[in-house]
Amino acid sequence: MKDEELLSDYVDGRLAAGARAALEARLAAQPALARRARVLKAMKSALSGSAPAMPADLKAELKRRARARAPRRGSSWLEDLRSALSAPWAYGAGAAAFAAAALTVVLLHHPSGTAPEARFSPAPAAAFNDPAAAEGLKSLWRADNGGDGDEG
Amino acid sequence: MKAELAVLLLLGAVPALARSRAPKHLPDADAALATITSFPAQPCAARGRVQFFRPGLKPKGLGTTVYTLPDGRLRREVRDKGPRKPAAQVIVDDGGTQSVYLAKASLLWSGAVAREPSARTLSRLKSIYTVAVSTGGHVAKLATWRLNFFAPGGPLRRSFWVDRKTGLLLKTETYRYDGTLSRRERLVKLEIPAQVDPALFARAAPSGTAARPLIPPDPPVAGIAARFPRWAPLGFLPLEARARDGGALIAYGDGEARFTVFEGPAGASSGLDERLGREVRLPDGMTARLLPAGDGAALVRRTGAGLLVVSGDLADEELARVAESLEEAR
Repeated sequence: MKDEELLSDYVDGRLAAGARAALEARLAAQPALARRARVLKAMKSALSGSAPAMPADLKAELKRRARARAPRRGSSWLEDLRSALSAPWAYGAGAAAFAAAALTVVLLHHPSGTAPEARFSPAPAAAFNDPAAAEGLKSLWRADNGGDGDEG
Repeated sequence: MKAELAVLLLLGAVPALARSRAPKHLPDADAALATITSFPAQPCAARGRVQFFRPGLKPKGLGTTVYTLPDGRLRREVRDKGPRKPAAQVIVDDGGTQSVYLAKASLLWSGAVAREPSARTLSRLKSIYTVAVSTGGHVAKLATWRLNFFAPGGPLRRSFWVDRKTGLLLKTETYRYDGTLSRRERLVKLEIPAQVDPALFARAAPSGTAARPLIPPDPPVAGIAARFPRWAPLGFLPLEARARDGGALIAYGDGEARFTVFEGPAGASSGLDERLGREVRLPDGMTARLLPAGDGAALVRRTGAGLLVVSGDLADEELARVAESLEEAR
């Protein structure tokens, strides 16, 4: 397991006791690794401790964006995020980018403080709608050469 | 052999003879305009083409066959698989009722559409455009005059080609504000007189086909009665009506071109720069502004009662006629 994955599982409290003890020993010996762990903890705290629970639509949007930006073999959005944060210098930038992305999504979904339901509510249903007409009319047209000539 | 040669020479001479008989002096604009709404004095059959040009996309087109009778009855068929195949769309207009049939979907629309007096059509054109006449070359092998319709002091918006001898309208082009071609409708082969079966004008669809209203009942939208226009250019059907920005938005289309009618409260935003364009007084006495709107054009009319915006891929006088037909709906 890579250090990033170890750190992430450590911060999330998912490491087994043995693995956790081994990692804590390394953290004590390696200041750089300890700094990465502190940044990761701070991010987790900022995003889960002080902030409200992530709305389902925000989570879905973040996942969609992460997938769109990383068309690699079946990696999850969280793995992509971890990968992006793997370089020490990237922690700050990555956290800022993550926070900015989250803020953007939140702002988009909560314009001027309005409830998310207001933004996501479906457009008013059409009082009149005739999709058969639209489809039927569309089928009449063909590609044209744009020419302006008489028929022989 | 000599006989064949003589026939060929004769055939070749016919267009030249026809040209030689056509008037050679430019008519004044009023004289050229006077006949464009008239139907041929004898039964007529013609093949035509409608082309639509969207910026950045390949042109689209459809082939038409048009039949007319001197009393103004009209039948237009759209065929997408050659002249021997059944028509994909049939429109029949008897001067009082218009029917539109889409064969593949077996759908029929029908409703009362009153024919407009020629004087009103001409009055609208004159109130909106400055007209100039030039020579127009040949359309369907007929020598034509070209009537150019300009926004006063502005760009060319529309051109009509009329037969020099009969004054029949043979071709139209509509232009965007940037000068590019938006739509062309032309006859490519004309037969006058033609053998035209009057039964062609009896109905557009097989008997027994249930008809939807061509002008749907005005639906309640956003607390107001959205009004469908009482007139739309040939081939356009109502597609949608929904609430928008405190008003009602109605959309029409012909498969490629599209236009919308928005009616909202006084003070509502049109979303357009209304300082652009020009003010016109329409035949119904009301004033409105004609201006660019995206790739198309718009008519904006503000009154104390509310805002009306008709916009889309229509010519200026078509926008105006749609707007006027809404007043008729009151």
